[in-house]
Amino acid sequence: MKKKRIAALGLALVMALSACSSAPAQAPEESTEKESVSQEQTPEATPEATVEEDAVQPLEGEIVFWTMWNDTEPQGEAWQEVADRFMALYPNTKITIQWCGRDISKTLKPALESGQRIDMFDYPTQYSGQLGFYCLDLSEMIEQPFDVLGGQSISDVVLPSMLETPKKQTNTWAGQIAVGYKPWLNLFMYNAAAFEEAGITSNPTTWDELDAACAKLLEAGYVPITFDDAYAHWIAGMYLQRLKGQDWVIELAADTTGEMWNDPAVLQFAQAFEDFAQKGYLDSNVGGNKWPAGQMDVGSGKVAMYYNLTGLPVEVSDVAGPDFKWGAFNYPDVPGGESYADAAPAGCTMTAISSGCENVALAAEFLAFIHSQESDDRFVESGMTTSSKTGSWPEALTDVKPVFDEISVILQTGGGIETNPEIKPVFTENFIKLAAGQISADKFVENMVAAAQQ
Amino acid sequence: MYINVNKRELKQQLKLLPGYLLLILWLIFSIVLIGWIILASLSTTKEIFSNNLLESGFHFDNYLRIFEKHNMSVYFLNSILYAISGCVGTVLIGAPAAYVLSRFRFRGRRLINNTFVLLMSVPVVMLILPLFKMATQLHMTGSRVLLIILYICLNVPFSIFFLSGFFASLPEALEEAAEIDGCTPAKAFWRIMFPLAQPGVVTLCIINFINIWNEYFMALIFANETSMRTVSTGLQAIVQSMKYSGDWAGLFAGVVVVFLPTFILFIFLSKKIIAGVTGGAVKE
Amino acid sequence: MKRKGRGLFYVSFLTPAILCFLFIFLYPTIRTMLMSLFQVEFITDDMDSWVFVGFDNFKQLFNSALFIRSMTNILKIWIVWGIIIMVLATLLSVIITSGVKFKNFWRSLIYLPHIISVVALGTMWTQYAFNNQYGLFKTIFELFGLETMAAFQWTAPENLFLAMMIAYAYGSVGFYVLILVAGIDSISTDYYEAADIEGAGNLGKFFYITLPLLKDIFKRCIVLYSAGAMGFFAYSTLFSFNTELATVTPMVYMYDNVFGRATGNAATPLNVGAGAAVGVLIMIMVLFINVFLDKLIPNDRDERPRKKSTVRRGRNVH
Repeated sequence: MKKKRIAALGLALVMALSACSSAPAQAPEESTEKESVSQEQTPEATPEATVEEDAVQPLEGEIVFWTMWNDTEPQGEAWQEVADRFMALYPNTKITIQWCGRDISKTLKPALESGQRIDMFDYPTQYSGQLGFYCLDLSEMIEQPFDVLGGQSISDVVLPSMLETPKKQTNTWAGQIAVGYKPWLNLFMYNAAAFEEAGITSNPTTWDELDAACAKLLEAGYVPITFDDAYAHWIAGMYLQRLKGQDWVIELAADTTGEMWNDPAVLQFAQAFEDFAQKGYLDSNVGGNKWPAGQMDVGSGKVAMYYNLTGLPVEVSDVAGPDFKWGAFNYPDVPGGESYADAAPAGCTMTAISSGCENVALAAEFLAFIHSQESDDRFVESGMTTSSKTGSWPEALTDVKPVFDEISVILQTGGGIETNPEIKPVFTENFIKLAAGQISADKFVENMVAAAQQ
Repeated sequence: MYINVNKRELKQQLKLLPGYLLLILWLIFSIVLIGWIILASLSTTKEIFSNNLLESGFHFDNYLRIFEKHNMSVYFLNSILYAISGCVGTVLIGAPAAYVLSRFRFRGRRLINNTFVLLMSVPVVMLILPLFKMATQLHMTGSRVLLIILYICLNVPFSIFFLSGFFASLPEALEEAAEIDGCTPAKAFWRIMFPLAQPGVVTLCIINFINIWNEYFMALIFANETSMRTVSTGLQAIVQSMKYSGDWAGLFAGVVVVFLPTFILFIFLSKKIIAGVTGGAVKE
Repeated sequence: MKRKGRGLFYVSFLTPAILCFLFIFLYPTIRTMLMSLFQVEFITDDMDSWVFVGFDNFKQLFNSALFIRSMTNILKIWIVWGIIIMVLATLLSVIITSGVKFKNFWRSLIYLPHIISVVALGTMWTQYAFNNQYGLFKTIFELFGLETMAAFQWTAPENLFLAMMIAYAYGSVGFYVLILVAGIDSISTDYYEAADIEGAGNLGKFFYITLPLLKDIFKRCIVLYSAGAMGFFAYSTLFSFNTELATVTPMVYMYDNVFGRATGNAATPLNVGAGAAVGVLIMIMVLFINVFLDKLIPNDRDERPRKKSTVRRGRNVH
């Protein structure tokens, strides 16, 4: 019957096509060095990797690198260029980049577990230390000299935080689980031109100074502050952190009795934002801003300040234009709280080498190459912040650098309020309503107490 | 018929005016919504967010960027492959089962029927994880065949559900007639019943095709390498990358690039649906 | 001999489907159900690393205000919006089949949103239609001078659910219209002619002919809608960047627990056992729904005279 024939043809086609395109070819690379497992096993049991110094054969082989970027992003393009340059430098090598996008947090662990070939990967922070089993300990590798680094080692070249932060983010203190790049901070990002116009001469360091700055901006015709639904809890949680410290905030988030929410600190926090809302410092649209509407308002020049990642400029660059100058300042200190000028939420993206990697020498070379000055410059060009001690900064962010350098204490985003996923939606919703002027500070506290008790 | 607009017909059409009104409202709304996306895909991001679409003319470079950076043809080929094989496979497995379940009485029929209905609503997420583990143990990850098998099997319950009705409504006499003619039941099915259920099969195929075409979650987990990506995961990758690089105009261009072929495919196929359905209805 | 042949026939026709059922559905389902009784750290963990916790996972779910909220949301989606969407679909189907011109065009038009990727649709709605500065609705309301309506914040937490469901209705009604139109079309026109002769009006025709004869199809649609509603997920993730009270559904909750959803650098704890428990609960709900629907709208396939065939169902006499 005709249908049957079509069906059979279809199946045949399917078989043929899938036969031609089955599993990616396994590149049989020759490992040019031996791996030796160190005598002292680190508590995390990540096998150490050592490279034989006298393996002088030309580098060859393939590296499969899973990255959190997409091939179409500026950062992704930068990565591809860096990989291409590496391949040009060492003609017998092949770097295959698997562009996972942000979904890497879903696809990586299953892939690692199923034994899919992955040599290097961007370690997603969502996994904390859970992937430690799949990572090589890089402690020795980062001390080795590399040609591409001009004889220096990775630890010589990168910012110390690039080695510290990965440990903190994964809560893995023994051994070097990954090496960081693209550090980021949470800061108040602002339109430098707007500040100038409003006559603000120095970065606000206290809440009162922020208040004054907002007043000036309002006069100059700008909306002082806005935020999106996606990041509302950041600007909110940080106030609490400044007031009572991160540990207290974490406890607050976990509170199930409602008592902590009755603390006068919470009321002060709610009143501070109620106050700002009444003075008109918060954009009238915060009640309904869906990301990225709020940050686009900053890029377009309507709003002056936005509390977010240092990656913000890249995200709004299309709207902001090439002439947009950015400034930044750390979350101000609040009345009644300690001084936290050097503390801000921070992190970095990080690269790890898989414990199943067969060509560790090649992986090591590539890792070093990533941190060479040339590669770093290319990354900076695409909008990433530099990981190198001697690296330059994207032009739009030049004023941000001094602030960046001052930060030494790393906090969690939102000051720790994110640690309880159950309370976070309620907190965010109530905060948005508070900021939009729909509920009063007292009502906010009331709602939170009730929510915590559930 | 259209030449002589007689009074009676005009009166009939006027009675339907409120109906027309609703339809036209829907039409206008759809045009504006989709039209906006198309216009947005031809503007710049700045213009989108300040609502001045097309202020600086038509920006076809948004589309160029998509084609430069993304291997759209691979995505499309993959999706077509999965969708077609999924459709065909599901019908081959589901139609015979639907036929037997709907026209013959035997023990356990009720049970099997109800189980299939129940299975239809099992959330896919529940199945994925153990399935993934099975797949890795069988060393099937990294192959398109895996996803094909999954698409086929996951759509079987729905196919059975859908086709049962069509088979049930065929005249009783058919089996008897076929038997008299000396056909085995199997042959009878393929030669007589199956073609008779064509409108149902066609509609089913189209529904399955579109479901698989738009399917995202399975494709994400099981076909996660760039060369195996489907249109939907490809679109998500585009959207994601555009969002994080602030290229919203590019995002909409990506949306249009994905949407347009689906739309055209649909227009093309919808004629077939109509032909199939009306053909089936007329058969007595 | 003929008996045996029949046996083989049944087997060969049913086996592929049953195999598929066993491997792709039964085994994973049972395994996931088991998971719900254990504390599992990650989805692909081997069974030896599971820790038995009995019904703790379920208890945790019912103690979670967020989860309870997701349940109330899903009930609203299923019942309230199920009715709204079905009524809308029926209305549209009847209009289309009542003799309007360009029937195929209208049907294709209404079905169109269903084939547009949800990602695209969601972006359209959140970034354009509901936008509070230049959005479609705002512009239209302003055009008609309805200032208060224009100021309506569609994407504010209290209205977000409504906004999301409107978008969902627009995108999904077409599917049911397709099925209903096919069903209405298959009703023999003889009935309508007879009704006309008897002097029945349009409403009468609808309620006494169309509706009863579509009973089976309606049930089919409701079953399909219920299945889709239980798995409500995509729109939630598009309308909310982070999990929000307004849009959370059991699937979203499960996803958060199984895959985690961290922004910034605070990793939220994963609890796959709880995720599996959610899945089990959803399955149980679906079971109830099916039983409930079966009782409400019993199958009367034998009564449905689609064809003029007068041959009655007889036993196979051989």
